[in-house]
Amino acid sequence: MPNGNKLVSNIVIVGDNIAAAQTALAMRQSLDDSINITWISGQDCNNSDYLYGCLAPPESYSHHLSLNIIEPELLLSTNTNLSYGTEYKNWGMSKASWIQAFHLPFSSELGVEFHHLVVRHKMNLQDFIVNAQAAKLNRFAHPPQDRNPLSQAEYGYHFDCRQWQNFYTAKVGLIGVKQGRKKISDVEIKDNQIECLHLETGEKIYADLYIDCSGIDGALISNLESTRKSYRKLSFTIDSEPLQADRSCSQIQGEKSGWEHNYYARDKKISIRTTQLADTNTNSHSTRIARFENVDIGHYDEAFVGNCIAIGQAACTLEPISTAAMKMLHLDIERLLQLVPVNCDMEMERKEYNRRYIDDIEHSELFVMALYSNRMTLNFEHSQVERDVQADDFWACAQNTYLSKKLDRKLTQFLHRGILANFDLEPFNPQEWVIMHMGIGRLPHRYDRMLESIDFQMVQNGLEKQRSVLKQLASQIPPQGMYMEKLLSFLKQQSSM
Amino acid sequence: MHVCILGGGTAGWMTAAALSKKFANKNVNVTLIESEQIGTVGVGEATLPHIRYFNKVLGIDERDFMRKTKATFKLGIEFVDWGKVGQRYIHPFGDFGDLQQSIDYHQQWLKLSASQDRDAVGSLSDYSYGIVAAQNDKFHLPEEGKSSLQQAFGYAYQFDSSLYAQYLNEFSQKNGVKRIEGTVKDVIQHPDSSNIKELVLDSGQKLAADFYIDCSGFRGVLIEQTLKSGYQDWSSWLPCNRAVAVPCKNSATISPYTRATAKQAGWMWRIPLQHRTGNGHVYWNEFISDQQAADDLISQLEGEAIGDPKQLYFKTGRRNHFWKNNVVAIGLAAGFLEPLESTSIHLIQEGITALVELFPHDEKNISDFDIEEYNSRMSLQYQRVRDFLLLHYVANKRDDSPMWQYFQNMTLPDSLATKIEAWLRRGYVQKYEFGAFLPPSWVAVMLGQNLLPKSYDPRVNKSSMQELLQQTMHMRADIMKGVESAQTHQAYLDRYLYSR
Repeated sequence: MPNGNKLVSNIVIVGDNIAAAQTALAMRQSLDDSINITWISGQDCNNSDYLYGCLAPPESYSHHLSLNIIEPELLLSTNTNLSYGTEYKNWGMSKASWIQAFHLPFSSELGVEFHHLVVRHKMNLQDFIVNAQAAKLNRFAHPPQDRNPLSQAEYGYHFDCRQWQNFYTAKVGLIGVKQGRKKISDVEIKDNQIECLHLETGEKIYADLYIDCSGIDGALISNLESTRKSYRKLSFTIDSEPLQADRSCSQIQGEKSGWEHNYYARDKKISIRTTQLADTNTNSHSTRIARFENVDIGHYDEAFVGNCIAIGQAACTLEPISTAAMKMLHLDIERLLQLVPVNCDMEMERKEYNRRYIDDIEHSELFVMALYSNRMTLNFEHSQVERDVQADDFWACAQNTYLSKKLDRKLTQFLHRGILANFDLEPFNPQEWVIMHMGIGRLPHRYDRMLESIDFQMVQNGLEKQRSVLKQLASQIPPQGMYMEKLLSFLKQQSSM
Repeated sequence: MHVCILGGGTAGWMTAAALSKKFANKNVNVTLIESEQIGTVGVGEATLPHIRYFNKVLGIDERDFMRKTKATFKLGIEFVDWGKVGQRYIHPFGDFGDLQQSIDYHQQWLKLSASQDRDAVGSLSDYSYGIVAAQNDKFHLPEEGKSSLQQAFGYAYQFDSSLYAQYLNEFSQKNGVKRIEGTVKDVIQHPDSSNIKELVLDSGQKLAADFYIDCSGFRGVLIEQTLKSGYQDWSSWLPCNRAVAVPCKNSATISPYTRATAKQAGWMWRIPLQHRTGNGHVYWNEFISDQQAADDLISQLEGEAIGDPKQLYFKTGRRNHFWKNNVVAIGLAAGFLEPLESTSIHLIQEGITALVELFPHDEKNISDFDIEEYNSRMSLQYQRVRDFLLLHYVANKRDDSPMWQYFQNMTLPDSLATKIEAWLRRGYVQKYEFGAFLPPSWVAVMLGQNLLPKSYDPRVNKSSMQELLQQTMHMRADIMKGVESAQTHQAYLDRYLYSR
């Protein structure tokens, strides 16, 4: 075991997936050459990357920039599609439908938050989200920079994780990361630290710091002492079908015994289903990519244990019903870069990393919990767990599983008077929360009373006009397929100049 | 709905102004009860930049406000003798340097300052526009800076708090707030709910309201004397329990910063305004008598004292409940933390902001949800300010008096101990979203008080020393250029406020 004062000079990354490739890229670009970075990528990836979901949130744009990846390059090198968000259909116990569109903060010139106007005037918030309107019609355009209402839209990416992995891997190959496609046969542990990795070739790999990006199996961290919070076990199937995709949002459909989430890369549809549905939903054009049984949905209580840091799914697995898992991956990498240990006495970095990690994962999970929560009124007690829930009652089981005092606070304050109670540095922003709350049917008991003194009819007229303008604007946005075709043609032209 | 504010002073009139502005024409009537016989504490004179937003929301014109309150600009606080006797540093409003590839600039500085180029690089202070301007007694508004670095600072005010209260008094009464002169003789509660039903004044007048805001100061007439909220005593963390204050005539230069000088049993403040300088000595009476404290203060004045020193007694801490029943406590009635970082008025502002958002429009049924949320938010604010203040006392090696030895031997709250440990390890600063003091503030105090990290963020090594040095020298030159061409604070004040 190296002494505490030895500088960290050898880092090994294990995994064969997006998390590993992005981590290798990020670390090599951030750290100087005195730190050796080796990437062992021969582990069976088992396609668990798909369990991130195939929709990356708007933050991915700046995340890619931090990796020196620009959007045109991403679009030209992969089958990535642009997306306004996710359409939820028949979702939850209330069977709600709405489009969870990516959006900038809502503006209101009346001194109250916009959603209060919507509540007071008994309107539908969806009508005021320009890209939700566009997504309904499968339209897409990049948000303009000017004061056009479309400038309030944000967008993310539909992606095929294999293509992204290949794309990142190619970049890693150019920047001085030592790579080896080798399998690990054993992990040698001493005093809850990794002593070395044994490879199937007989080789031993020693490092000061090990980064476990091995996916849901957590090949390294599972050998260390770290307790795990498990919510439930779910089984999934992943299928893909060739398709000239022209949809500008993913679609997730709730069914009696689970859900099916469809994503639309440019040339294919990728479907993730909970398995109770899977075998009743076969399609002769689709190919089974993977099947996962009893995936443990939950997280390690500590992601940095000893001299090992788990990133992405190795640390936590979230249901791919929102962008939470991708947000966590971005946060994991950002946190890792900010806390790369200076030397082999990693106590401070470990403590701080885990403190931030637990906040991040708990706050990410809150959004997933809120999607499952059936709490629509103030009188619903937190501790009111439905008794005698049948084990095959998917939705009731989810609700009983996902309980949190932090969630209680958020739901209570929103249901009480439309206040978006926040915790420090949450991954989901206020507008994501309000769109979700109102989409799922969770409405405040009362709106901001400041509105009482503002002329009802004047506001009503204003909202109706705004609704009409947005609807018209949305219909003028080009169809997704046409937009992407022209965009790619333009980008190809630019790149050849 | 009828709201009654008990107590004038800064807390009372800030609250009255905010409510009267926010709820103008909204069927919320505000009455404020104050007595000229009950003096206000009247020593809260320095502020944080957040006050500018408060004034802006009220629609207050900056020049008008500054003229009427005899205000000066404030770029930060100069701390003298805190790290070590004979040393001084400035805690500015604003960042250090430019963000370098998403790495805080001070990390780059840490590397350079450990290198052979340390003399050329100088102090981290040289990379804060606010600090360099303050050190040179210069000022301009941020938007007048010619480069991004020359605009990268914030500012607040130093003002006469009784004049500010008066200013807001006039503002509020123009907006419909009713002022009643009087003192409370009795408080009547509803027998079933214990809510406050009405106040009986010494004149015999009775005032019934739906909701009460207790700005009655340390006594907490409603929140404590009536509703028995209870008090969390924080004097084990921050043991100073007395203050003596006296204004004096201005010295030649009116500096754009507050000064806090550490002493054997406490510290002294100096706050220059247009018409006088406010001075005070905060101290722990365990280690210095009231008379000695007053004598020490008088002996340090830069100008002739105006009036007699005013004695104050306090216990650091906070109410168990900031909001209880139909009473919200704001200002000293809510809690007290010594004004080392000018947080008193800031905490008033935070209390008002939370109250406005959670205002109980339904006078019949005040919701427990609102109470819980308000108390949760204010608890976090107070705790985070407490930790930051405590940092000043413990982030040093002073042991030259019993008070400093007390701090050297203190067991810190975990929240603070972890922050200091992370800083010492590698210059790392924990971030949070809710709280008055962002990472640059922590950097300023910890580095200013000689807590030098053993290492720095390894990502800094990605750039060559030459690159780092070049960027650094460029920044320093940019800052110096801006400061050199700026006017003196006095000249800027005169032009900004009084020239036609």
